[in-house]
Amino acid sequence: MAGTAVLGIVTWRTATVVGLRDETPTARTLALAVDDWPGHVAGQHVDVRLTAADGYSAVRSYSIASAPSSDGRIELTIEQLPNGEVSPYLTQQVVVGDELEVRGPIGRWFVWRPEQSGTIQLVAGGSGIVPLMAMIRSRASANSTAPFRLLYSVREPVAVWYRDELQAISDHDSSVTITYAYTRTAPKDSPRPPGRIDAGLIAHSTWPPILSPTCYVCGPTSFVESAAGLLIASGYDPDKIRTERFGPTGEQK
Amino acid sequence: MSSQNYDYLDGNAAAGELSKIFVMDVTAAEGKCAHCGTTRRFAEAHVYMQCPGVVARCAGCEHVLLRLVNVRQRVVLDVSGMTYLSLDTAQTC
Amino acid sequence: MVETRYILGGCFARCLLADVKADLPYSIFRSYGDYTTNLPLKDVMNKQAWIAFKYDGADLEAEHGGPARLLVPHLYLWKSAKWVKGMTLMPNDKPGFWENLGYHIYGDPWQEQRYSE
Repeated sequence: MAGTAVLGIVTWRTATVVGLRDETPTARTLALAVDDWPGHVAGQHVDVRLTAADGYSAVRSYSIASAPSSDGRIELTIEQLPNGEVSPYLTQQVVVGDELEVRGPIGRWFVWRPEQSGTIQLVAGGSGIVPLMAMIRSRASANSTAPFRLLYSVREPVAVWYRDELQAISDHDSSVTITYAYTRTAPKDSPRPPGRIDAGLIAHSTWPPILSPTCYVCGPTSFVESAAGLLIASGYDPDKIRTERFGPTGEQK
Repeated sequence: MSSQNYDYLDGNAAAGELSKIFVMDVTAAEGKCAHCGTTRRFAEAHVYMQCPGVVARCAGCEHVLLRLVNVRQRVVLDVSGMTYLSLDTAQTC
Repeated sequence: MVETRYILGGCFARCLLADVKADLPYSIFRSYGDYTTNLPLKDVMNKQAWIAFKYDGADLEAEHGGPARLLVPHLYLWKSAKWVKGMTLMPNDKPGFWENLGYHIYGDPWQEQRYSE
């Protein structure tokens, strides 16, 4: 299986849209059935290529949101960006039955496999939640008991992706703890006022560094640099912090 | 290009293009910068995808590690900015 | 309806050479970050090449190529180097950063000179 995944990576495969689901008013999940899909590992992404009638093509990277499965299907959650070239099409115009080209799965560093039984700290900024959600889903489908904590930084409650599913997981699984860090507007019962994550929040909501967790930090580049810096400053081993940067706006390119 | 500039991606974003030449996924590879001599995970490189091609820069000194262009049916890769790339062929994760 | 126009400001690139004896036929522009792009001097001295350092009245921001960028609208966009810091005159044409890898040494869009022959 691993050999197939490595050798097949260069190929562009046809993916058919088999489902659409709105996560928020500006984020939509696309379910894709991919020809000859070799399977994936949580944290990996695909490149999606759109080609216009005049031959102009655009390529964007999107993290796979779904857990590994054997049904040849993957899910991508895409945010509609105001000046996006590709995201308005993918979030508003694509319909079931449309075909896209995908290349992947890509990535061998920013991945989590169920064989990893150690303590895991996830830190998501906005759309950076996608690959981390794949890890949480992978953990669930593999019945892993690895201790997971998620620190999810997001503007306001309506901007949370996968809210119900995250709620259900944290309700039923005591070894998964989720902290929401609202940066603009917090709910009335929120324990902290809105603001970016800081050393205090890291100290209160992440694993104690003495546990030497493996950390995955994902989101816009500025968020990742800031969060990784805070983790290192609080004592986390830099070699155990894995990062994926989504660029200035948080849109993967 | 000051250190406050956050318009870069990282090595994860370049892996798809690099897979045209590299058989193995390079994100977990370690690369030694030919300019400053530090060795870093390629996933941590600062990558710029908007230009005529892909440019990957050392996260430490910002010197160019590699650049890749697609010229018609040809892929051209310059890795002169790296002294070496090191991959664990047995590693799964 | 409110109409907004954003204006790039600067000077003709030829102004750089106003007090210089420019008797070599080729040039290469050097940017911060080791980017270079080459141009025949005549394409710098015409009234189509600019050094831009203002945007909408304010200093050009780094995101748009500031403090100073080259604008050569009659050629492909990679010739309009951002973050320029210097210019060198040369006796022969020498490929720059992208030209070395296969992009056209001149880059005239009207002749579809994107890639080298």
